[in-house]
Amino acid sequence: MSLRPASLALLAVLAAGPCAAQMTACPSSLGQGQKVLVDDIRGVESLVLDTLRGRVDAALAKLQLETRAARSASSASAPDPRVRAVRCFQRLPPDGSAFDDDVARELNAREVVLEVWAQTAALPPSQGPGFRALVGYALVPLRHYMPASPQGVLVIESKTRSVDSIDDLLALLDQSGALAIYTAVGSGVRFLHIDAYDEARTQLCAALGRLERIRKPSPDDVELKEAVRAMAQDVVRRARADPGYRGDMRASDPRSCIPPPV
Amino acid sequence: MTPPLHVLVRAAGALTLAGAAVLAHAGMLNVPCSAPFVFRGAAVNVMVMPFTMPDKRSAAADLLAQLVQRETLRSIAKFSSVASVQLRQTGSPSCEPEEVRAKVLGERGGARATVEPGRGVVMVWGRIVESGDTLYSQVFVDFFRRGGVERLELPLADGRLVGPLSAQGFAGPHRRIDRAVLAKINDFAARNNVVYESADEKSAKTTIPLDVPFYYYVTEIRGDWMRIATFTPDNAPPSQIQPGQSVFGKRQWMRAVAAEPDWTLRKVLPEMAFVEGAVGYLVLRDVRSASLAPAARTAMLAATTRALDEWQQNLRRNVLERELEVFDERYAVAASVASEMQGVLRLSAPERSAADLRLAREKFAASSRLQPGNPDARNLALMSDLALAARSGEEAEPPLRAAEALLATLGIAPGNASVQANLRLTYRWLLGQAGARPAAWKPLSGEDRARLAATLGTLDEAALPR
Repeated sequence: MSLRPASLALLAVLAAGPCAAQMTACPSSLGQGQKVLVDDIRGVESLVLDTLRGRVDAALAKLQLETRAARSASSASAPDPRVRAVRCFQRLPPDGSAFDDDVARELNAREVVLEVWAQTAALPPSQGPGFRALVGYALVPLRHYMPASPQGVLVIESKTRSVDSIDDLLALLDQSGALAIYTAVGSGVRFLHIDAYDEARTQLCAALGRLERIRKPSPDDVELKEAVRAMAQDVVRRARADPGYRGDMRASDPRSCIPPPV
Repeated sequence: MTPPLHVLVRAAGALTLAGAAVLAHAGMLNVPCSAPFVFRGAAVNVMVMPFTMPDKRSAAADLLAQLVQRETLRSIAKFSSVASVQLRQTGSPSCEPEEVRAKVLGERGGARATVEPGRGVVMVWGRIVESGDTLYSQVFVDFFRRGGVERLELPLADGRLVGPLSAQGFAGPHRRIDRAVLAKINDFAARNNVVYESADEKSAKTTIPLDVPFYYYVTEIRGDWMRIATFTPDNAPPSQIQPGQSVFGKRQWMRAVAAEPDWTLRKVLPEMAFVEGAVGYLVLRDVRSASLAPAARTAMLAATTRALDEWQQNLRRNVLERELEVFDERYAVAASVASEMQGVLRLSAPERSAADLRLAREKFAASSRLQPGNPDARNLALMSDLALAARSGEEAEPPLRAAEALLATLGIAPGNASVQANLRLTYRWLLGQAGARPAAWKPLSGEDRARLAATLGTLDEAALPR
């Protein structure tokens, strides 16, 4: 069993199978406010596929439940930091390159901060019986505002063999940590670029705090952490340089997102 | 027309827990999700939502939800004026917790009855995966009160420090449940799903059908037994509950305690302990609980603390190392919110001692260690530092240090209204603008005074409406 970021090329190979579909528009009404789009989750009907669907669903429910209090923390006139999940059945990107400049621009304009898709496929015969599960994350604002950033689209690959237990599978396919981090990053980048500095700093610091606590970070995690750290500091610099900014960051020049313990 | 719960309280008369508490509780099974129902007069309603499998119906999931409802009612019966309702999905749309929450809070139409202002709700639901002889269940818990978020207030100088809990809901870890164990738990629970003619298992009895709505009030407790009165929401008694009224005629007694305590759902779903603790927390924090007799309050507080302790200990013991391998914050919220609730309860009594403040501070600091970047958890710990510093003769952290830590907290969450308000009050207090300071304090240096005054000016500007 393994858990590591997969290359976009690998995702493309997997997605080229019979389960792949062209990326169609999300049929659901997107409405106002920041949102996470959750696409179809497809593959060979199996316990792995059922479990993956369940874990993505559960991760979304967990995120919304545990961040509901965020609205009450800020003043009523501030932008709403909460993120809503929108299901997009029948939508499945053929691979990460589907999030080209035009798609990223359109999604960003509709306040999408993250798009999630997933699929499973059988392992090649040389690797024995089992499945490969891929979960893709398009951090839309990062992809839109910083198109050169390799963290704009991230894919997590997991392999499971037929002998693996459900216990292992449930833990392996748990997406709650990744979803919480990537949502906070997407939201923070979006707020930064609409000059909502306070909200940007809050989201980016929340993301950085979680990234710092990953025990075995992947190379993508490490790069994302450094990018988020730089952006969290950039927010302060931009806010303090903006003559129109009247918020709390004028009162001090906060540096670290991880203050000393209380 | 829903019968008011106070009628029941009167009908029930004085029933004692640890010598003092009046007990009244009510239950409902199989209520349609599309038209949720709550007991308006109850201090807390526990709403048990469906346990589901993605895109599938599952008899095991339905059974789990029913067991959760029944066991919840038994475990919370010790708290005054509580109810437990099991919702069942009936066709589409699906039973979405957010939708049900909005309906019972009156934010959206469709509920048969809404929660009264100030009253609390605990919602429980789950997702399951079935594999052969085993089920895996993940439980979600949400708790809230109509009319505002749960927050601590502590007086300081001429103002009040305020701090909300860092969260009011969480998802627990997945739990492995053997079908054989669940069946055995159900067998024992089924012994509680029977109405008897008298408080005696040998008396004539009728089993309550599992698939029809069943609404009841408890009107009397006698030992391990409870006497019930049944009703339906559409055909409720017009004026008051008649003790002894039952759709089962003379059969009106149910077992009030688990038939076999070692075979309860709590053994396999420890989240049940948190649910019990959350109900106790909401009851104790209800302003109408101020009139509780001290002995009753003490008993409730002890039961609540025990339940929240049990939940945290289980979480520490059972969160598997492999789950911590990747993201070790996965269940941080589940543990830290319970710690914060214990801290808040410690400070709920009007007379708070320095020892209470210190113990509460430990709980808040424990929560902050679990979520180091969470501004609300830090805020609660720093509020207790400041409240301790305000007490003459108490050894405490220097208030200037707490103020600096609050400023650092605002640096990770600028715009956080509670942290901002607390910091402004603290600065005014340190600068002598908010009333007297403890005589034992060392005066601020001129440099500190100038720095604090400048920062306060900026914070005051930031607080102006934008």
